Amino acid sequence: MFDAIVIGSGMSGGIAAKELCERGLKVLVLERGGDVQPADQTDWMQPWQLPNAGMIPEAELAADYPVQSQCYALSSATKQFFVKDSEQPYQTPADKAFSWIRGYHKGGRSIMWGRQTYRLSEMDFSANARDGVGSDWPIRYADLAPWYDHIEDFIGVSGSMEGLDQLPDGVFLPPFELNDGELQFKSAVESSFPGRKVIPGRVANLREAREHHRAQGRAPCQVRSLCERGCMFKAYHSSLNTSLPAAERTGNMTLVTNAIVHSLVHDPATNRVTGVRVIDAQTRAGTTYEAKVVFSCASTIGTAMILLNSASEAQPRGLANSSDMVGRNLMDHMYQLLTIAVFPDGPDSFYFGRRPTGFYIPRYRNLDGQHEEFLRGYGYQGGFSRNGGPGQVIGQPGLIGEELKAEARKLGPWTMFLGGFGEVLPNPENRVTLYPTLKDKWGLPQAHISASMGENERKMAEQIQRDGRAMAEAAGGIVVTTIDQPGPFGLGIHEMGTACMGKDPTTSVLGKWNQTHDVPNLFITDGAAMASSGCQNPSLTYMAMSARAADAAASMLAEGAL
Amino acid sequence: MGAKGVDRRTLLARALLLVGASVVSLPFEALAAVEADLLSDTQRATLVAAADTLVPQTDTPGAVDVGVPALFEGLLANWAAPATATALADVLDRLAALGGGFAALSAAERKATLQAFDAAALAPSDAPRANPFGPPPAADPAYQQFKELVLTLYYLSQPALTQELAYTHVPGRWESSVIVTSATRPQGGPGMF
Repeated sequence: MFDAIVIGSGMSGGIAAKELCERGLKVLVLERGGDVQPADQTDWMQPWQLPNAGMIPEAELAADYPVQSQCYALSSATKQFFVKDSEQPYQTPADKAFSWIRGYHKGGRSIMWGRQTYRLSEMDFSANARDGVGSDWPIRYADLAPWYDHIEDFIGVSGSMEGLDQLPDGVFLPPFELNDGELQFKSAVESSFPGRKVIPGRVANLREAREHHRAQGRAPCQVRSLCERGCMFKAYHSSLNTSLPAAERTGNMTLVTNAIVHSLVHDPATNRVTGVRVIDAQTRAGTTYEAKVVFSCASTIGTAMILLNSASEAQPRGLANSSDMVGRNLMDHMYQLLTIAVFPDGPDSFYFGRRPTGFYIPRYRNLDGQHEEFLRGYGYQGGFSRNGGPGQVIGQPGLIGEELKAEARKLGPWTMFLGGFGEVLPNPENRVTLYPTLKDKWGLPQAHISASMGENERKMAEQIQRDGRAMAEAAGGIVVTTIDQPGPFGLGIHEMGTACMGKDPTTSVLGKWNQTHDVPNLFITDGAAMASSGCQNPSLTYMAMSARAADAAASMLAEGAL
Repeated sequence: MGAKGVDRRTLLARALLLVGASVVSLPFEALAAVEADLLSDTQRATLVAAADTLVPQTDTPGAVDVGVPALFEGLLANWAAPATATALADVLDRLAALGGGFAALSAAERKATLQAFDAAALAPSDAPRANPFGPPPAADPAYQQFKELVLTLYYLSQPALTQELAYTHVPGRWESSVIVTSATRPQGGPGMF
């Protein structure tokens, strides 16, 4: 018997495992995918070594990756990190597309994540209570703040101190500074729109490697922007290169790959989870592992499916689902609300290196009360570049030969990419259920995912695009492209909310320690726990909750409270 | 490499000689995986001539020098779906007919002919923009794709990235402001900012 089982080895599971192991617990980590070998990380590949110029064969793309191919990070150099949709089916209503982007392997999506790293604020944790939407978070910013510190220090976050209530500062390494195009934009935006700020994107790449980072075998970011292929320098945080090795070093971790969780074993007599039923992905052999505590970090939809598939006579609606909230309140961020603009009067300068981040515009709507036609707010990620090269010449009719080469040698005009990220409200009708008849190849029920944006999101999306254009034009930009509809639900790859935290056990699944209200030794610290989405990229919050809950669980275990 | 590959190498070499290219530096391993002859001799000769005309040798290597025709055939064999391969082969057929036999024209004639074709083919179209990061919709999407593939293969090559552009695989540092001089070149490679 293990002290603890952690389901999932990704962003949340890696931290849960590390923190539990460091507290002396014997921990089993179950990963449904395979191991990752050093050669699977392809950041060593020069551009001319990319298979098929980086492109996945068209027939393979259509057959195996119709959903995953919507993610910018999928290429012939990264496909080993994405599931084949053909092997991992799920269902949606015909009129409600959902893009479920997944990576099933040791480290999960933390290998390909976008690395943008932002804290939620007090405003976010009190939002549901203030608006009467969803369940009131049982924690506030002060509860999580020290754990944000703890995680930022461990993973390494580069960013600037800004003193903003809506986007608290943290334990930062120096930022990747704004380039001159961005500084000009910052000046124009901040003078034209008081209250708005353009700051360096906060990113989990080591601008500097401090002593404790070097001790983990990590080196400073080499400014290559190859991150989704993995990193031989271990310069960005991933579970694969950072959290799991830390857990490993304690000698307390056992990690089993190809271990697909079927369900949890619940003992109604003690009302405790006693074990985890696992199917071997390759042999299909069944095994049950036992532990005193279980952490589900299987990802938002994965965790909901495990709970629902663990229904029993004692808990017929699914494990820890007396509230009927498991699977409900599925959220994401509105994504792909894009504005692209060129700046003919940009500064006559350039930059060196391929920075792994850009700029960030923190939320500025509804900060001190309700002022808009919609609840909550949004932020933007973006950046300025002068790419030039082939992208600059392909669209010019009649440009060939020596003239084409000469033109491609020139720096392009400063070009801004500006993408809005909008908060999505919790809505119990946006939900994951188990499809009643269709199974996957291991005999497990397929997910049925039914989610759509609502009126609040529609109004917010319009404002995001109005503001994007206004800021570009105020800074002298000429808007060349906009996308006015958010991408499919899920494509923000910030899915969350299917086992929400809350104060009231009748309307929420988890209490203030990420412990299920119904089953005391079952903890959930992945995105499922989120009671609201904020508009900030959520991985940091998942990691902070994982560390905090692991600390609490270890104490409860030591006190005999579990 | 099987006998068929050798045949293809010979055929390609013959086509390359038409434009005076050296065959020494070509990445022939790109052909190793090709199972079937996807292009006729005429299409292959047209591919070489078009690549050479689009990106000729100047003070730096051109598309043929860096092996774009062989790499393009590799894409036809290993990347393109049948409909795409057919459309691209059709582009080659249309290019082959230019000037009564495109591959046989002088370099100057090829350039004048292809420039006119290119200008018409890439004239803006009212079609919806499929990819906000890609080029604007053009009158002849198949030719646009052909040209984009040729340019992509060229500008992903080591000579183009390091001689035409200033690619460094491991920049090692971020400098947020650099003075522009006459020697400043785009960095190429991945990354948006």
